[in-house]
Amino acid sequence: MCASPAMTTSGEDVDYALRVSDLGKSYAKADGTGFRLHQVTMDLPMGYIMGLIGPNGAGKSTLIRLLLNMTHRDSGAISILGRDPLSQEEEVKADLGVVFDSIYFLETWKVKAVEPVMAPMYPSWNSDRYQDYLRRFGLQENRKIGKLSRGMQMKLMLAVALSHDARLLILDEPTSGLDVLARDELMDILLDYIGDGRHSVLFSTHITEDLERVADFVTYINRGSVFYTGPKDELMEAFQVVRGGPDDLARAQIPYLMGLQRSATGFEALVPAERLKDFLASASPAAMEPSEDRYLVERADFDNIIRLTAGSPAAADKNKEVES
Amino acid sequence: MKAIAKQIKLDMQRFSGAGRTWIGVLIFLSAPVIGILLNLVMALTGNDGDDARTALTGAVAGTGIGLIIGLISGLFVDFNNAAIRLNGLLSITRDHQVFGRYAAVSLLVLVQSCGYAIFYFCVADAFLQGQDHWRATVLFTLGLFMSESLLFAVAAPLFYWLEMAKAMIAFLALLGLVPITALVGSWLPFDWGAVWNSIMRFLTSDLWRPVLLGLAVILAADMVSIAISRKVYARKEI
Amino acid sequence: MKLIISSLSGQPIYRQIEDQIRSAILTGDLQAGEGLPSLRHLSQELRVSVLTVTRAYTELAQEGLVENIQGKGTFVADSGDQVMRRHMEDRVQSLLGEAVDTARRAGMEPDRIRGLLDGLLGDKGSAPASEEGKE
Repeated sequence: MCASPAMTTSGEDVDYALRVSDLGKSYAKADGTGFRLHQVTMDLPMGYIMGLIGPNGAGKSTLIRLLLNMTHRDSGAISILGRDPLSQEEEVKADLGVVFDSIYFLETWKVKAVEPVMAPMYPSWNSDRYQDYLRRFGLQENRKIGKLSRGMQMKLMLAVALSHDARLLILDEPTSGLDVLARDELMDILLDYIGDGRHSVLFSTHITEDLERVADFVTYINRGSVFYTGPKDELMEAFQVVRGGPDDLARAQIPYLMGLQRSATGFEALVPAERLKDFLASASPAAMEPSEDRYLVERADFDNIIRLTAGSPAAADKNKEVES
Repeated sequence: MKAIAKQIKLDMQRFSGAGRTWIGVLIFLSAPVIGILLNLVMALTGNDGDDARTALTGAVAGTGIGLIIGLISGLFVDFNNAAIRLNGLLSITRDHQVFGRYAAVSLLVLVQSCGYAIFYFCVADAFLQGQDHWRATVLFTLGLFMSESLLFAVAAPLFYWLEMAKAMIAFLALLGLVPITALVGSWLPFDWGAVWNSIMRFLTSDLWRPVLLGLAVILAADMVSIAISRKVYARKEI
Repeated sequence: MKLIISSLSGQPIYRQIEDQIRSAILTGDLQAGEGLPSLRHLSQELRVSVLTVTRAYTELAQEGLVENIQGKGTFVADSGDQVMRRHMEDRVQSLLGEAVDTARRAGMEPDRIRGLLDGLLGDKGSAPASEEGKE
């Protein structure tokens, strides 16, 4: 039924752009505070786009830094384009294009300084292509990098990332600071980039609209753990949002929901699609109307899913309130 | 090797503010050039006594050492900045980044010392009186190259390890120890004059001996320094 | 081929693509043997993910409406095909069902409905004949 990546390559062995298994990293402090990335596992087949979503501080950037050896993993394994980034770091990084959430050049440099610095770093540097991107993005060579807007700085990094024939793009929050037009342009560039099936993209974002259209796969990280990883469409079908009045949620329905937000005017619950029937069936019988009409049931988008699951402990607290 | 070469190129760009290596070289060579010009003016005005020229030599050498400290902090300025992440995405392992940086700095220091050698050759003859001028120039160059290399060997691990400002403070504190040690040493009941004489004897013997010793000292200091830098940089989160 | 994707409709995008291609095939806009755009090309055109298009194509293939030929692409299956006819019939049945429901709600008698249908069959039945005559 579902379009699994294996089907798209018609049964051949799938090449992976990125494989992560049981990755762990702890910044835990003695007093129990701190941050922990826990048993992260995900696979990105070659030729596809994967979105990395989750609330701020969930561990998206830490994961990206781990992929790049910028920080050291405590446990687990990473394979990038079939290679181990620890033992074959230089080969791996030659094939990577990276865009960080803020500029990685000194702000005192001018735009024109970037090419003489970066060209010798990549044997496959394509100067014509780089110049094309500068023109296309409207980047002026004489501007100081620090004076560029965030969006322009991102475009400068993107121009570099796209000009040395990288096989995998890793983009950390590339769309923050971009307007709608620029985000559309970026999505076009990414789809064009993976067009030949040999290039792949991993990008983290909190602007989930971008992802909902172009991402093939999604990894949702919540509080340091993977909540979901797999085809995007499956995640989008996995949940329904049920909305109802303040008194329409019965205690018997609580076990069927995965996230809950209450307000004075009503509630909003995230219900796994396969439990929706049970959820509706266990509505309080005191109500006269049939339960289908009492509730507004809609497909959950990423924002709903993140919003209703992100504060898991908070949601649990609210569940207690309902029960008391 | 390729990766080390990349790092050398990268550091040359950083040193010169990206894309204009010749400006960096010019800055490096400006002090000896100005020194030579000053000396010319002094000679024309008849103020070129031994003392004046020694003072000029000291000033120029001091400027050179000051420039090296500037260079060190300039190369590590990224560490205090989001730009450090460039080190995380380029295809140069951290070990190669360290090797490349030591190589780049050694190269720059060598170029600088040679520039100062020209100055010294033109200006000074106060040192090692009675000896031939070439020998004095070689020894001066070696001395400058050695002291600058040693300064970097001390400073680099601090900069790889600590934040920029802390590293600078620690480095200056270590430099402060030198005159204190000298002061304490001069109080010790020891025949410093005899030591000084034997040093002079060594320097005026066959030239290859002090040169070889100097290079050996630099090599040893760099080896130890590189080992420490690799270790602290490997653990750093960038 | 015309495809319009709405991001606001509650329908998943792959379903929208699937539905539109299906109706293009059923209405004859896409002829038997005609090739569909390649997965990655259509994904770029529609600005949707490759897997989304893959899924729409896969489901159409499972229904037998299109065929995936290794290395060549995806093509509309022959319309003489059993599956195709069954689909046409299903579609007619559902449209008729809708018509009957509407008629009942309007309080129409079964005979009146039959009369309308006969009338339509009469018109449409003669139409192709006259077209054939023109040829």
